[in-house]
Amino acid sequence: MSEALLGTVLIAALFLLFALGVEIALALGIVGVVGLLYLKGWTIGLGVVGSIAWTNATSFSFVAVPLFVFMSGILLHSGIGRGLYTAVARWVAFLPGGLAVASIFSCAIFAAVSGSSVATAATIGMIAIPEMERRGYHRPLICGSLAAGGTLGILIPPSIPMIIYGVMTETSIGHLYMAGIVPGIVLALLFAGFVVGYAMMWPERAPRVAEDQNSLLDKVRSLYEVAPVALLIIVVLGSMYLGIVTPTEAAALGSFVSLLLAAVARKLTWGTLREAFHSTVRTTSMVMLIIIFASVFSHVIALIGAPTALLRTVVGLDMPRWAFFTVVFAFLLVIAYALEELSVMIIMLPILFPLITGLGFDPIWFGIIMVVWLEIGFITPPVGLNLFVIQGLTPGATARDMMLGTTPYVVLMIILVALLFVVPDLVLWLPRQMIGR
Amino acid sequence: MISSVARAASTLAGVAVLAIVVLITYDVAMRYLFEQPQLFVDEVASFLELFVIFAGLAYTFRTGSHVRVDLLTGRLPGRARGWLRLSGLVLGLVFLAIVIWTTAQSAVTAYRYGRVSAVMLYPLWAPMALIPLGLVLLGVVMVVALGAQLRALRTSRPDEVPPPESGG
Repeated sequence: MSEALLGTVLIAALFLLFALGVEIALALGIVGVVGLLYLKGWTIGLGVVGSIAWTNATSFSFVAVPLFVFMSGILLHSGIGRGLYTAVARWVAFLPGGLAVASIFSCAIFAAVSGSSVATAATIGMIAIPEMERRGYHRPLICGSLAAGGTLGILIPPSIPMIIYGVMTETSIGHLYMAGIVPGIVLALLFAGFVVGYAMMWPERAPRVAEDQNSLLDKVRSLYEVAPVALLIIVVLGSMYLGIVTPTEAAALGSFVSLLLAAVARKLTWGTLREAFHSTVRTTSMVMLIIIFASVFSHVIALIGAPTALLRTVVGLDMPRWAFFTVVFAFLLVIAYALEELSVMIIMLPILFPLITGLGFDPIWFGIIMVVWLEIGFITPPVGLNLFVIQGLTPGATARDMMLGTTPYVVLMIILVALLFVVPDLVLWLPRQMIGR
Repeated sequence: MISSVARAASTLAGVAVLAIVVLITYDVAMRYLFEQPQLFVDEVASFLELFVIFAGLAYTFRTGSHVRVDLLTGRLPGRARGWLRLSGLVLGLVFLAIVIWTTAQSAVTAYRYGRVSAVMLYPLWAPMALIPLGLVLLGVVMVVALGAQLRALRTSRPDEVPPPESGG
């Protein structure tokens, strides 16, 4: 069998198994093992499986994944979200749609301690949704601001997808974190700008909060409610950029301080802890099994030489950069419709990354693009995780409310991608300052 | 019975996460405050990570948390969906058997040649054995799911059996 044919057969088999409903991790493993057996035989071929499993499962960088999930689980019920949202709401309540703006900014600030989109949406949503419902906010506005705001959790550092991207492509996680900051702030401002515009167009959908209950003194006083979050930001990001700790160690320190904060707030019960344990273990087992078997699969694809062949073909096409990038991005948007996005990233990276960097795109820049793409996936049906979370937290919200609410943010995210393509320095300037030193 | 074993393994894995948090915090504190880096921590944390992944596999399966695509199968008639699930489980189990065999071989080899870790010289066979052990536990819960699926196919309204434990 020729190599091109073998590659095509394996990829077709993979998608067939996906379509038949086999677990993604197992499907990757099955096709990978069949490929290895065909290419290298029983002894040599299978030996690779064990060593790939070992290398990935004991990677110290990947230790940060369960740590950030665990930290989110502890913070969810710690009351830290309430303090943050209350304080931010006091400062931005004067704006049209103030409470929805507060949702977005609270998500953006919480994103600086959270590595996950779902956890950010859930932590802030739990507090913000009842508040906005009580004030009679339009439901799509509530759902959209939180589902989209939550996705800032993975763009603003720390970020679980950036950890996975960094390890898989051997890109510095610290630089990826840095690179996410400016796009994260830009996106938060775009979101907030949209909410303000929306509330000015339809003032009845975002009733104003009475202005007089918010004196400057109240505002300043409310700052102390943000203290726990500020402390966590210093612990998680500060320690890392002072060069004291690695990204994984920062995650452990963050978890430790979260436990202390929850204990001080008397919110650290056995129930909370057990729930955090199980959700951490579920996410870790699921994601890491996919990573392990995706690595087996991509090992086979690399043995065949598929990425190089693909690169040669694409270079031969002689397409302009923007056209090529548009095709790749559109392809990703389509494929994300059927599969859970993080899995798509893990499966596609070994093929996509050599292609993209081979064509001269920057690895850090592409990492940020992948993250924004993940954000889009998190708020688009049918498998957008944030949609499920926010719909679950909003009593009576329909799928239509969610669709109506999130669509404008999808457009804003696509605008951001275009912006980052035209001005890559939005991504690359900040990490360059760090590399320079 | 198997339900409580899978759940206990997951709880234990959760405790391992807590242990990682404490160990790394201790290491950072000792290194930063007293300039005494604790060299064992990185290796122990990595082994604990491996434990978290593989001890959690079975419970993760029982809660239906291993991601699958149901876009197409969701539109099939119940009987076809049930048979597809059955075939998927059989295929998965065959694959799992192969991986268990090869990873167990690696652990045995590591034991026989006395392979040790790079920094602390810990024997590697023990953490390596966790991989096939966790996969065996996953295999057992998959066999249980296979049995349930077979029984469901013999009933008057056959369909795919949902995961036994969701959430929590």
